[in-house]
Amino acid sequence: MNRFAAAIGDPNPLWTKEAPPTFLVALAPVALHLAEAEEYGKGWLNGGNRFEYFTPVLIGDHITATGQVADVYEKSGSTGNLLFIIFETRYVNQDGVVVAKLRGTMIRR
Amino acid sequence: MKVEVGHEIPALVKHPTTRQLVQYAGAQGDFYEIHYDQAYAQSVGLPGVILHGLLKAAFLGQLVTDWLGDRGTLKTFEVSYRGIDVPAQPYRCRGRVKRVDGPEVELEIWGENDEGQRTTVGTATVEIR
Repeated sequence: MNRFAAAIGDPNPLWTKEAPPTFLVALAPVALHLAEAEEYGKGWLNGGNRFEYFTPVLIGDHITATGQVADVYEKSGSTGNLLFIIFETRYVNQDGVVVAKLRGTMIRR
Repeated sequence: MKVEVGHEIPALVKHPTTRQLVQYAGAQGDFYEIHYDQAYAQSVGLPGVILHGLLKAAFLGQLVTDWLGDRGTLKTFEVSYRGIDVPAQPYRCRGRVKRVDGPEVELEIWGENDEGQRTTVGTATVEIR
């Protein structure tokens, strides 16, 4: 967590006790490796991220991240077709409490 | 803390560098080459290496938590990436109170490049204690 706070350049002393808002993305990959998707277009773009927080993540917690593909759809864009993949990750602590959820939109272009 | 609809929260200006992109790639564990390999980035049609969307999200997270301090809790935080951003250019994070409903406050947040274009836009909701 210290390394993450240093990497984002956020000196808030709170991050020596508690996770900064986007820290959960460092615990586990937020997008799954999908060989089929990687055949589509030239590269990935991150379309957006939505975090929902239920309880703070503290130093010493044991967090289990579980991810799934929630949706896949195609859209036509100005420079060609785009493939949208929606990933959802749920983060549960050592007491079985859902601490946060993350929804991410990844785009192949 | 002034929490009135329309009130703009203090801006946060970040100065991302290629070094920070590498540092962030390691910290998050996102080693997609477009964030540190110029030749690779150009081969997929980008002008050069670009900022991680989630790094811009982290900047906006700092904007909100700096403003909030210990006066409340972050409940939701949502960002959409509308454009790419490159290192060695200042990235200005801004926000404004959009809605106040009892202890719940909604902020409109955004990140601007050096030309003032909003390349990241989003919403944060906080609960004031």
